[in-house]
Amino acid sequence: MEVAISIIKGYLIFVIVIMLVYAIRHFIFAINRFQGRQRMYYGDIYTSKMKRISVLVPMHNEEQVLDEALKALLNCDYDRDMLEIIPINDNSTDRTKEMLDDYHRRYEFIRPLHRDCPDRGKPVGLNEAMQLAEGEIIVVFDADYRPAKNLLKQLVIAFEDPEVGAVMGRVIPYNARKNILTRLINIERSGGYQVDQQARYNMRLIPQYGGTVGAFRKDVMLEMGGFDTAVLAEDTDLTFKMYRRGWKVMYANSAECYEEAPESWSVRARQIRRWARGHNQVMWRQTFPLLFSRNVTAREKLDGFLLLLVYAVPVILLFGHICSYLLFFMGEMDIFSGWWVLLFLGTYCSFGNFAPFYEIGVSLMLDGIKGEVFLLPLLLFNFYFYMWAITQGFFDSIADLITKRKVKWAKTTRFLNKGQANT
Amino acid sequence: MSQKNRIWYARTYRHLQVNRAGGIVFMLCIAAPCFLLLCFNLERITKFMSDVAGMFIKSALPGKFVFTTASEYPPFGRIFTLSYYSAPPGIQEVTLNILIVLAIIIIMLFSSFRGRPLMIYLLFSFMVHIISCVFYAFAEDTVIYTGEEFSGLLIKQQIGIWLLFIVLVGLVVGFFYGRAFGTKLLAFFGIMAYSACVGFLRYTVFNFILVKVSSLYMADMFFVAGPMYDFLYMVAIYALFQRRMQKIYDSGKRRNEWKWL
Repeated sequence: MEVAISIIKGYLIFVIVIMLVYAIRHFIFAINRFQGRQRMYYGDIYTSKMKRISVLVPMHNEEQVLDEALKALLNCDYDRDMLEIIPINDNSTDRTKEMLDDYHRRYEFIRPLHRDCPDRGKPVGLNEAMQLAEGEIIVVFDADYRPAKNLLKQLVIAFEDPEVGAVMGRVIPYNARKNILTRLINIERSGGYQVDQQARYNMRLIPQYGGTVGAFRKDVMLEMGGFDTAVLAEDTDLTFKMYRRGWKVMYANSAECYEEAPESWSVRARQIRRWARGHNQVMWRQTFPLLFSRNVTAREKLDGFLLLLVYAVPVILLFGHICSYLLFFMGEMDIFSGWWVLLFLGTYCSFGNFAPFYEIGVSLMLDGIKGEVFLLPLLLFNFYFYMWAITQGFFDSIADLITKRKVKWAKTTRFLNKGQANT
Repeated sequence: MSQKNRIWYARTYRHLQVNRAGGIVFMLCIAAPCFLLLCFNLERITKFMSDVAGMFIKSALPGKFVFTTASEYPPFGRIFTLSYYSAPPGIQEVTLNILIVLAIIIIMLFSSFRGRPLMIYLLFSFMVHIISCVFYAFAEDTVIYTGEEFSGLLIKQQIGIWLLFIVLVGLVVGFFYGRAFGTKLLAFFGIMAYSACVGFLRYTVFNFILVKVSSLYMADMFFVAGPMYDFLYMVAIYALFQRRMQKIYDSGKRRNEWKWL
């Protein structure tokens, strides 16, 4: 019994240390972004010859949103001779095919790729489209995203730097005012991009390529064997593969793209569970290669390790809570009664990429978003929601690891209807 | 200055002047003295809390035997806690609690509330209560913690909350948001004063329930109604502070302090 109690106490100390590490990390990020000198993006580079780019937009039954996405892309300020758009119609059963063909008739540079085969999924679709793409730079968007007018230029300009392998833009929900969930996602996004990503970029750590609103070099990607179809978070996988091969990922804070945030809790839960599963799949694969890579600096390794662990932290914390209950009912809580508070510090302050309260507070001020700061206390309840969904995703990833089962791509439910189209 | 006024909104790189000195001064002159003041006065503070809480419980429950005892709490020295008898729950009370909680859980699971964050949080909380009930159902008459031990746990938890708040709020308020010293002081002492009141009230109410009812609710008090609510109001007060700072820096006299590169 004493051994068991010692193990539990040891685990609690481990959890508290992890929480403190994340709390300090986010505090440094917030200070850096709020009061540090910002690292400029490549905005001042002037080039008369734009790179040829291919914009890939994976789609599966996207008749609700594809119109808006393609219209926004067509509005983008980029030389049409150097641009091709490849919507990847992945086994759609609605009007996606007809709508895309109609666009193709009107715009020659929109070349849909119709896939009608059993191996459905974003990574496999992107791999196939990359083989057809003529651009040297691949830009990826989801079908519910609406790029800002200057987004393509902003993303692509970074590739004038020969060290840059991938670039990530900023995602902002356009339906933020819809309901309490979208408002909460909006402030989380604000913390995650305005502070977290920009601070990582400032500090030359590892800004994460997020799978959409991003661009990468096609030749590098093909050399790496394309996207791994066995991984759900192909974006995170790409980030670490790039760094291990000596490439850098850049973050363009002013390259804004507008997304549709999930409007129902069940959709959000599924999305988070899928992200957690994918991210943890990458964690199992990339942690050791990252730590032993010669192309990654020590500070990048530290940041990369903490980034890989982000979706495991809520699970570690959940087990910390369970251990506390055990200690309590064993009558052994005494010395940990004060320490228990630190577990809550972790709960509230250190929740990985969903940003602690001070980070969100800072980002809202930088973004000039007024009033939404009063939603901050609600994040505590969100934490339990995320902890539950992420724990499920974590165990999914362990099952994937053991059984080597094939992952299925699941699309996030869309909410846009015609009445909302122009809001 | 006129040039700056034209840039009304640019979120990409704007930031404030580094204020390390201000943050360090805030930590050294405000947070650190408060921290030390609390550490060196825990004996007095806990004695006051226990005496007043004991007095209230004795007057509300005249037949109950409640008194204050002292114990060592290294490295802080002596602290005072309440000592009383909290009866273990009877099987009837345990069964009734399980039935009520299970009924609430079933209703929640079949309601439109299902899968919402608040419901998941409540489920976590009810789980703690059910574990407590099951424990007492199988270990009737067991005393996990005596009244003295548990009020000691509550006091230690409260000390942990206060010490952590001084550091956390000191860092967040002190190092961010430029030089608005008055507003920062207000936020810092506002949170601490609120925390002192809540802590004292909670200590009294929780001990009162344990004396009056039974020790069945100890786990709920410790885990569910503990630090979570402290973090909740801390962040709520922080939000008021942040809103005030946003007003000052976006439309007030400090608007020109933004750096744009």
